[in-house]
Amino acid sequence: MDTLESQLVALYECLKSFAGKNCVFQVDALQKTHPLFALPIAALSYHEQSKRILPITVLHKQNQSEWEKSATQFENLLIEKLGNISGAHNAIHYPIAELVTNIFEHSKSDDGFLFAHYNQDKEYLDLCIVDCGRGLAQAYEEEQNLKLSDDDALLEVLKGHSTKSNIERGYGVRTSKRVVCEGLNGSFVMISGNTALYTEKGHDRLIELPDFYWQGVIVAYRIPRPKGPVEIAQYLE
Amino acid sequence: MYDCFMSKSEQKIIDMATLIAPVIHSRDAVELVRNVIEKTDAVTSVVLDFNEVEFISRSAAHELLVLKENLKQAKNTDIVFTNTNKDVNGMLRIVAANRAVPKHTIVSLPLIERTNIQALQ
Repeated sequence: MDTLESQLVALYECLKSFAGKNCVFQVDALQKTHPLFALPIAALSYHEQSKRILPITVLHKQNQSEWEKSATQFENLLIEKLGNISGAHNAIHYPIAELVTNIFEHSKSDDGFLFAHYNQDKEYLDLCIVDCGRGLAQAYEEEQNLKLSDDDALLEVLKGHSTKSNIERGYGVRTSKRVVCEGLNGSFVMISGNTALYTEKGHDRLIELPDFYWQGVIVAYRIPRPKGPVEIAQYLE
Repeated sequence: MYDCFMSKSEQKIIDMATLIAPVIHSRDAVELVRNVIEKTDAVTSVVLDFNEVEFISRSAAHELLVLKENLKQAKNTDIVFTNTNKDVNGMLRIVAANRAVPKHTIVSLPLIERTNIQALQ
């Protein structure tokens, strides 16, 4: 699973045809895993205490100040891993802040899940953010009475079409993706329902995931350790 | 020294890092600020002290500026931001500029390739 794309394939292979059935994920023999593969599985089994498999960060909507502080700690650990690079802290904070706030504003889920892995040898950071909420298409339907397929809902998000009727909203995902892909030369995947949007090297692809359905939203991205100063303002539009 | 709820006559000072966190992520966090202000009578000025705040998200910055405008219009209460670092300043300026001259946020996309997961396997 050396690329984000191969992690997406592994997740697909693991969860296809799962469709909410009772499953046992046998992970004892796993020697190595990656956030995009591991976090959705951990999120699915989160409420079964005995089966928690990973030291994931879980944010609970009910306690606003507590989750803001937990997310801050999580981000500061990642910044520490990357080392002292001018502007890198903003590039870590911005997408996490926007994507996590989307969970609690749009998904109707009370929990958000975060997991990251820094590969010291290859100097890249993999990060995944997951919710098990209503997903994008359902959000558009319930908020705006728009009936969209999962792929069209992903495209609307990319265009900046907010489910809230406010012209000043809708920047979060698009600008986060720009910070990751253009500002940090990273790769980005967003999954909702049966479709993934995958972006790498300036190339967007919508990937159909037959026999697969994620109820909620999964966002994962990989960023190489920046080699020089990072400035994100130009990507915030 | 003051804590996040200390008042000075008609001025209220809110320590943002204590009330919320050193990184302010969400619009809902601004509700905490609104709640503190609403619990205080006869406040004509609110100072939001960003000392120890490292970063504010675009969403939270937008919500704070909306709160500032609404409080001014509804109650003639001023909100002042103080001890903001370069990053917090930058975010507030980006959002304020966008509020002053709104951009149409919905962009048209180039043709996006559609494929099936099997093509990647």
